[in-house]
Formats: sequence, structure tokens, C-alpha cells
Amino acid sequence: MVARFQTWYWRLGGVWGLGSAVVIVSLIVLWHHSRIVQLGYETERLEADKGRLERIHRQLVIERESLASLDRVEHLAAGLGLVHLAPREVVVVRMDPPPAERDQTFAVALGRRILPAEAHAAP
Amino acid sequence: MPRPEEDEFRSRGRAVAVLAVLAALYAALGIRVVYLQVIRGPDFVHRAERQHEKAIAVEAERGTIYDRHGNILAADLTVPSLYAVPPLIDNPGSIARELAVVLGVDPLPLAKRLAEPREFIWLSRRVDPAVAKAVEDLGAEGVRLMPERRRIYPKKALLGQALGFAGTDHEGLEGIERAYDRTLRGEKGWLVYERDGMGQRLFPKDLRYVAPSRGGDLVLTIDEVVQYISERELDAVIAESGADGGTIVVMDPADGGVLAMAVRQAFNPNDVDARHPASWRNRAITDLFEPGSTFKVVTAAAALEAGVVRADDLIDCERGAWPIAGGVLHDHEPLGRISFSDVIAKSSNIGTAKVALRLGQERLARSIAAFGFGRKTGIDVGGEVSGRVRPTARWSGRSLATMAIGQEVGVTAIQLVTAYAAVANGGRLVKPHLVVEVRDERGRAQPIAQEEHDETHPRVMSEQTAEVLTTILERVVSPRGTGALAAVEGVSVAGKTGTAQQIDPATGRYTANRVVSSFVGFAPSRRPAVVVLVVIDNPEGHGWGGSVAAPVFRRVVEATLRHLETPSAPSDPVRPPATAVTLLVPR
Repeated sequence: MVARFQTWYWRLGGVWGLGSAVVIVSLIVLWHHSRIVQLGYETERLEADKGRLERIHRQLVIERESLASLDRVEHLAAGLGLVHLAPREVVVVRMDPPPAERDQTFAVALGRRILPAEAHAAP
Repeated sequence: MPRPEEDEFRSRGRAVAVLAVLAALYAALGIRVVYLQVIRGPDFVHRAERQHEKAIAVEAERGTIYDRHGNILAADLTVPSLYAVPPLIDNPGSIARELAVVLGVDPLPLAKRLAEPREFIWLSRRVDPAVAKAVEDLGAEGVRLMPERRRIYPKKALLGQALGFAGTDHEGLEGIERAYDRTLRGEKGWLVYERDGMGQRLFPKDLRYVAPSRGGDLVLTIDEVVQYISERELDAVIAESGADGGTIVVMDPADGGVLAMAVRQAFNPNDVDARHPASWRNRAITDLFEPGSTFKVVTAAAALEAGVVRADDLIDCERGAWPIAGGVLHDHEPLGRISFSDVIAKSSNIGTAKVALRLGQERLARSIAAFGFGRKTGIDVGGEVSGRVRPTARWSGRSLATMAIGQEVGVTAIQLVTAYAAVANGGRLVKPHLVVEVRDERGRAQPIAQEEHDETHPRVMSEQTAEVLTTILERVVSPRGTGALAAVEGVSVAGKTGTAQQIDPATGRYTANRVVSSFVGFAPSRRPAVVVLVVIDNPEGHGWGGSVAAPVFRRVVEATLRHLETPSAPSDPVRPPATAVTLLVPR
């Protein structure tokens, strides 16, 4: 009688354990699946955002290029009273080789002379 | 009365007949099923897929066109397009009226289109974002927006004719857009989705998506600033001289890279008017003109190379009139015995013709061909013409003399500037080109096809001849030469003026009232950075090349050399940073 009870008990335990394992695995699979779906929606949303931002960036780049049109810049400059220098009013100062700590560009408007060497004069 | 055996026999016979018929029917049905499922099965599956699946072409982004410093000259922008689904529209009349106000079109034809028994119709493609917003605000059922790509030229008319344009279907139709269409266009993608019997999409997620492949980018040899300078000066001289139009080409003589190609009248590729195709013609490569005296450099090169004349040989210019082949050749001023250098410097037709007679027609013809006249230069933009040079067999008695001074020949601006580039670089004929680099969709530089960039530069004259010619051309720009107004302070210049009469279309004869004024030269003459050609079409008044085109040359060279001295921007993709700037200062 005791032996039969033990057998029955173990069988019940086995079924319960198996059932629990199935439920747990199912829950994990479900959670995993819902997570994938959730991430999928999130990815879609972020991709849409990225596409939108890229479009805006593109528009802004093209607008910047349009605003930087030289005829527009020259028109605005003329409005501010700016004029081109005459050739003799420009001096282009070049350094050879340019010092690393002063790798900056500069020019001095003193008359058209090239400093320090003619070798680096106008092409 | 029939016997029971007979009845049973008949009943059994009927049953067998019915069974046989049924068996035959089932057999036929079975055969039909096998036929439909096995033999025709794949075909029907394919048909069903076609009915349930709908494929939409996804346009690839067209590549961007940059100048040599990375400034954008043409790019794609995503813009909305407007379409309608007529089955979803209950009241086409009222929606057409509302839409017509926003789109600025006639409502009646629009209502007719909205009532058509079609599933999809375009209403307006690549509309302004403001228009799209207004349509969206209408909230009309069955009227929808779809993002499409639109080609934008942010610098408007700058380099308009050379860039060309892309059409509604995003296909390059003119200029660089057409010549490099395969590179720029990329490959279309496909979006396949499933739909039900009502034609509605079953799943929000696409079944299959073949992503479009973005087109490659182009980096041009064009320098936006030099292009702007050229167009600005061209506009100024046209306004000043009342000319019909003009062309300026600026080229790097070392490799034939075109720094600027300005053509007037202006053309804005953002606003293509199909009624005026002439406006987008790139006259620098499609239009012929008689080069006049600028062509004398070809005669001079051939004569010096052949040794029939030296720079200091004296030539009698006959005091301005010389009878030849039943006519009289004139100079613009009476000249006596002058050196060959002065013949070119003072642009004597008689002196040049006399040298050409020494040279002979075969050698002159060979020189003309060697400089590339009469055939395409092979510049990488579509539409180039060969020019007009008659074979020697068809030359008249006057042809040798007149062709030597640039008459009876038709050249393009790009041919002429390429010929002078050969003088500037020591005698080698370079191939003009506009594209310096092709980049794939990831920005990696791709090799340009060999035939597009032929690196072999045939020699058309020796270095010594090129040097002597340069010295002669420097005299043209001296105070006593015809091109004195082309002189640039502080920079040595070599060049040649040209004034060619045009043929009156009405009479078919040369007329003094219509001329082409030109100046072509290079600077600094001993270390040339640029070759510049200025051609002004039909300026008012005398219109001498020395008085109309030469000053434009000077202004372009002055500003261009000043620009080329200056450093590039730090973000420059082509040139490394240098160490100088120029200033705009307040006055």
C-alpha cells in the first residue's frame, strides 16, 4: 500500500514538475516573443525618427548651401559696404613649413608683397 | 408482365451504369485536380502571388555632385508628392474644388480625374512642403502624400548648363547629370506587400524589401569660386556691351581639369522650361564660332615647329592690304616690315598668311588636326560637337591664307582653350574633363574608366616651340600689343585677341555688324595656373577682342589667382589646408 502510494506520489510530482517546466518555458517564450515585438516597435519608431532627422539634416545642409551662394554673399557684403581689395592692397603671408603650434591662416593688408619667399608666391 | 429475374437484371444494369458514370466523373475530376494541382500548379501559385502581392519601386537616392572643395552643386531632397485613391473619394467635385485652390489648377478637369475608375492617380509630384501641409490640413479622404525625391541645385544658375538636370523620373537628361547618369542614379529598390481581395494591405510590415542602392557621388574639377567669378564677369560685360551672350572657360593646363565653364544666357536647372531647350545648351561644347586671330597660334606653332620662320624674322605686312587669290587681305592697321613676333602681337592677317604660304596646306592641316580641331576633345559631358575643319581636298585658293587667320573653320570654346593649354604646359595636348573623382555610396573613391581619363597627353609641339610661342604671346599683352588690356599687374600674362566677323543668316556673307570678340591666354605665363578663354557674342559697337574680351580676361585672372592663392576650408575634401587668406574689408 505504501509502495503504491509512493509510486503515485512520485508520478504526480513528475507530472506537476513537467507541467511547471512547460508553463515556465512557455512564459519565457511568451515574454521573449513579446519583448521582440516590443523592441521591433521601438526599432521602427527609432528608425522613423532617424529617417525624419536625416531628412531634416539634408534639408538644412541644402539650405545652408543655398544661403552660402556666392552671389547672395556678395550682395549682402555690398550692402554692408564691404568691397574687394585691389591686388596691390593684398599681401599673402606664407610660412614654410607652417609651425604646428601656429597652423593658422592669416593675411596682412599692407601692399601686394609675398612673404617670406617668392617660391611660395602666386602660382 | 416481366419476370422478377429480368427486373433484378435491369436494376443491376442501371446501378452499374450509374456507378460507371460516377466513376467516370470522379476520374475526370481526379484528372482535372491532378492537372490543376500538379501540371498547372506552379503557374497558378505564381498568378495568385501576383494578385495578392503588390510591388512598389523605391527610388534610389541620386548621388550628390560636389565642386573640388566639397561644395554641393546638386543633391537629392525628400519632398512630398500628392496622389489620390479614387474609390475612396465619395464626393470628387467638392474635393476637387478644395484641392484646386491649394494646387492652383482648374477644378473641373481635376474632378473628372478624381472620378476615374482607377485605384491610383498622381495629382502633383514633388510639391512644395507648404502645399503639402495645406493639402494635409484639408483632411480629404482618398487624397494622400507620398515621399519622393527631388533634385535640388542649391546654387541655382551657377554652372547650370554644365550640370544639366534630372527629369521627373529622376533620370539625368542633360549635362553631367546625363553623362554620369549610371553612376549617379544608383539602383531602384522594391517593396512587396500582400493585399486582400479589396486591395488593402494585409500586414503593416512589408513582406519583402529590397533596399535601393544609393547612387555614387561626383567630385568635379570645377571650383565654385572661379565659376562664380567667371559668371559674374560675363554678366557684367554682357550688360555693359549689349552682347547677345558669351562663354568663359577656365582650365588647369597641367591636366585639363576645367575650373569654370560659364555660359550665358543663364540657365537655372531648378526651373527647367521645356519650351526653351536652347537655354540649357552648353554652348562651350556645342556651339561653333570662327576663332579669328586666336587661331593664329596654330599657324605660328606649325611654322615655328617646321622651321619656316623664326620669332625675329622680318615679314612685310604690305601696309595693310595684300592681294591674294582674286581678293584682298586686310589688316586692321597698316603695318610695314615687322618681326614675326610682332606679326602675332599686332595680329597682322597679312603677315600670318604669308607665313602660312611658306608652311603649305598639308603642314597647316596637320597642325590644325594635332591641336584637336575638327574632332571632339572627349570632355566628359554629353553633346560635344566636333567643330568644322574641311579636308585639304576641299580647300579653295584662299583657304590656306584665311584658315591661317582663323576663318573658314568652326571651333568650340573647349577646343580653343585646350589648344592654348598645350602651349601653356610645354606642348602637350591634355584631355579636358569635369569629373575628378567618383565615390561609391560609402564615400570610397572609385577608379574612373580609362577612356574617360586618358592620361596620355600627345605632344603637339616641342617644348622649345612652346616657349618661343609663350614669349610671342606675352608680347600680345604688352603695352604695344593688341591685348594690352589683358595685362594683370604683378603677374605675367600670355594670350591672344580675336575678333571674327559672323555670317549674316539673311545674306550668307560676312557682316561687319556682327562679331565674336575673344581673348584666350594663360597666367602666370611661365608657370601657368590657369588658361582662360573669354568669348563675347555680338557686342555692340566695334567689339574688338582687345577692347571687349581682354578686360574680362584680366578681371577673371586677377580674381582667380587671388582665390587660388588662398587656403581651402579645413573641411576641404580635395585640397589640404594652406596658410593664407584674403580679406573683404569695409570701405
